[in-house]
Amino acid sequence: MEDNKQTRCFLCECYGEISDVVDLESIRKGLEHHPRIVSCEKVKSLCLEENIDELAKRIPLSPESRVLLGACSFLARGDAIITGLQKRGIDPKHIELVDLREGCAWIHRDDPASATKKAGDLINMGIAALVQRNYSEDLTIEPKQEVLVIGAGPAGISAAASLVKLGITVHLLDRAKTPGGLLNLIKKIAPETDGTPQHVEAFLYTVGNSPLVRYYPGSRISAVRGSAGDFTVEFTSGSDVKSINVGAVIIATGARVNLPGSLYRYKELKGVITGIELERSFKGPGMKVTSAVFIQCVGVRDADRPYCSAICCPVSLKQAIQLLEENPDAEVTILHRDIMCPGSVLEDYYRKAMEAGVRFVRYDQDTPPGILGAEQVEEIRVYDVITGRERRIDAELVVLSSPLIPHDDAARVAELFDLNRDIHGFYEVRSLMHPLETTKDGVLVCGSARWPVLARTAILQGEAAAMKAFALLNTDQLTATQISQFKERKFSLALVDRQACTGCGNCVAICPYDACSLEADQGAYKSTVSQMRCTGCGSCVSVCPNGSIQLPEQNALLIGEMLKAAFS
Amino acid sequence: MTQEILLSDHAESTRHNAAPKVVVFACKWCALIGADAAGKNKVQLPVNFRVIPVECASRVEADAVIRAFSSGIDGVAVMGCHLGGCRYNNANHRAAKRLELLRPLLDTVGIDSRRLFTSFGTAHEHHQFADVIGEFYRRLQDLPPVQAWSRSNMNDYRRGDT
Amino acid sequence: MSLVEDARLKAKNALEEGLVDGVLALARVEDEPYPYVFEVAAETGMLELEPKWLLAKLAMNILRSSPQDYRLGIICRGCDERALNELSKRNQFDPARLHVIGLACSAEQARICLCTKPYPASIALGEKSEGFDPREDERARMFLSDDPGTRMQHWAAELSRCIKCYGCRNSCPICVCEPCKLEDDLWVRRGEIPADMVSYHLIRAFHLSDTCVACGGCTDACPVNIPLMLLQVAMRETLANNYGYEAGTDLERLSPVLSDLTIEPCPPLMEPGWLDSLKVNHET
Repeated sequence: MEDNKQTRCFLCECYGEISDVVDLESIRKGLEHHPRIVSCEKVKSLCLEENIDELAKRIPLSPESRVLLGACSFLARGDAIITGLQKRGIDPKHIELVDLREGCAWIHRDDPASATKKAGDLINMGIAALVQRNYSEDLTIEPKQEVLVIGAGPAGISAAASLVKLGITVHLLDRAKTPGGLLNLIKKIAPETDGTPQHVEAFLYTVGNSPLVRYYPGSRISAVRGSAGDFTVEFTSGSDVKSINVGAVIIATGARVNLPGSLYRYKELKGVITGIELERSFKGPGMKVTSAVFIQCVGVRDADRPYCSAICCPVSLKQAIQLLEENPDAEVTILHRDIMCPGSVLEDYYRKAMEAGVRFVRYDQDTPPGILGAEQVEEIRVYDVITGRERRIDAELVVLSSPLIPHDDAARVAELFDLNRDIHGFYEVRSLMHPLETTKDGVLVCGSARWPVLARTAILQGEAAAMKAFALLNTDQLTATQISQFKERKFSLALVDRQACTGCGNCVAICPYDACSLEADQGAYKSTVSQMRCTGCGSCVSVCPNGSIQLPEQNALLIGEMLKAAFS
Repeated sequence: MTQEILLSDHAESTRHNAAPKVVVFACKWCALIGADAAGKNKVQLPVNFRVIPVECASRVEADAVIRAFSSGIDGVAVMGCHLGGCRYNNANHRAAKRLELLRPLLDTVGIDSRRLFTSFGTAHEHHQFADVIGEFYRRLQDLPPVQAWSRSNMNDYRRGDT
Repeated sequence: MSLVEDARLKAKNALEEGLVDGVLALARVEDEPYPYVFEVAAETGMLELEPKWLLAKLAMNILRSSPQDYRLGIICRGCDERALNELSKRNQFDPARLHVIGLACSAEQARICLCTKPYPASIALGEKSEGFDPREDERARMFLSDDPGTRMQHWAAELSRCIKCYGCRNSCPICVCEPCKLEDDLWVRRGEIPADMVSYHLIRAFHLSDTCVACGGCTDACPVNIPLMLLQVAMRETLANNYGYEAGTDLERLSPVLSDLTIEPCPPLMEPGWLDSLKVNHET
């Protein structure tokens, strides 16, 4: 809002694309006496290298200097022009690009008079934006070069192992006394049928023997403070109370196995067991049966849990193959609603099971299989969707496939870290390019805590999370505007006028990133913004009753002046 | 002449608004992309709208919408991303709710909530942007200019009244 | 015992028992009722209950300007109590320092105030009476009519008489902002009378959208008798229908407009369970 800003205006003809519709000369003339405009020139083109050179020469590199470009859109060549000017020393924050092509000339070709008027208005709006724009003050910190990994299952151990290779100190916490997570419950990992407790041991060796790993079994987190680059986490480990300071957090707390309640007469009949119980017996004496029936989608893919738990089909295939290995004459049938085996490895595995002799019967959600037997299970009746007939299958053993559901501790951890969970209770991650990042910068999630996955995928995600954590920390300085997970710079950082703030707390309640908090200040409360967490979305501004919180780059005065200029 | 008669005369003569003035608050991640695509595809659009880009629809304060109406802008469109697809962690939910709550107020005083057009996630392709603008225009053409409410208009009547 | 005698007794007891350091109520001072803080039990003989006088903002200011351990009692009508709840949700004072002596209003008072809930959450004085639907009032009905033309005519005519005295803003128990947007030229053009109807009154009304407790203070204060409280009726109904929310009735629940749809859902805006928002018509 300084009054000494000097704006130079350049109107691009775009070789006629703009100037054939918009009368740039009349706009240029109109700006001649504008108090804010030092000069206004028409040019044939702005985006070729030689044009940018010429343009840069005409722009003084002084702090009051501003540039208004009437050209094409940012997404067309505007971005390139601004980058080109930036390379020649001009601050991109001092350049305003007004879209006269995609936003005017090209969409109003049949009404040049009105298009010219609109272009004039758009230029005036651009001038208002330039004049009223303020700039956020950035905050810089040195990120702590340590990472907290919560959970010592396959995902967590994998993350720790990767970080250790990069020379990062890792604090590895687990609430259990032994590491390994769900891997402790299984004999073989699907789909590889040759064992893997060895793989876990290899990891554990790396992790257990590295001086960079601090391992805390039997621990429980009690408090979390801070933001990306600088988190303080308090936890108890056994009987000790500890506090650590880390730059990033990787949540690898996994999931838990869901028990079927009373579905399919579980607990009522002998011989009806869950997949996880079968696995336990594989680890022990083994299981030799003459007839076994697996039922898939137990307590999942229904109205209460409308998701597919991803692991249960490969796991049942693995167990079915194992039962046949123990007794090649056994009749093993899998009752399914779909066999979920995407990709070539799992598809091969499916074929392998078929070739081993496993039978498959497809049933419908509306006609689930019936379990028959008095005290011991004897027979299954199922409506076979493919043949359209009811089948009766002898069953000495019925295995209810156990899906994964969110951990019982997931809600508490989510609250400690202010994380969102999706409707099923798994931690929510950002979309598309950021599949491991939660909505809290610096907090990553991998493995089954994020979504049910097989061990191999959990390991892969652990490595990926480690890389992302490393990318965050691998810099001397972290600036608030750069911690934005989908653009190079944040748009703006919210700023509070403490004098005006009434402490109402609207900003605190609405902020999608919990960046606002209230501080006691001489008997009243004042809002304060964590610049590291603030993403510049502007939600707080729109609910502040008296405008005491603003985005400097798009403050209320700027919007007001743009509205005034819109139809001048 | 009483205020009521003046008002109803005015309303009669300006029931239609041939060229409504529209301000579009377009979120940079969806709607602005749609607008740009409309430009690239050279879709011809009505000329009386001005776009104000915002980082997220949640930046749009109700007061700015109200201020727009009081400055004689006939319609305000707020375009954001899908309700499940906001890059700012569902900030657009708050915008949707807030603007939804503004409607009954606009209706109460007779400014008409149809002057506020919200579109979450339906304007990111060029034809969608064009459709949305076109649809809004059609609705506004059936409403009198918002000037009927603004003070300067009332002043004109007062000057004409003895 | 009459109602006012009961009130005097309750105030006296509260002071004598040391429950509070002062009781805010009305007192007859030289034949006129004024807000008064009774700190001496003997004085409670002067205590009056009429007329309706909104004491919420006064209570807030008293608490702010007194020492932290000062406890204030207040003879409090339903609207005052709701206002105090809203103020405390907005961190304007510590509710633990306030002791509410709830006063229920008469049916006649409810009719005058167009009040749908003329009683506090817990009633110490008076009997709960039925609320009054504003639409039953002949004049108010015009402002809430189903016909948009009628509504517009009435509001336009009324709001054009506004002399911009700021009485509505000053008397509103929720309006505590300093500086206030209504005095900022950016939002409301200065030096104009009548106030630009749209910007002044709609900005004020919308700021109160989710926090107005329908106390009627604005209407009472308006020197040209504009029924300002009626601006809020439609928004309050929307909040009730969409969220089951009424301002001032729940100390723990913040305005639903501030949170995600997964936390405070809104039926007209809900996306289908599978997040397939392409199927939902988002255009409104």
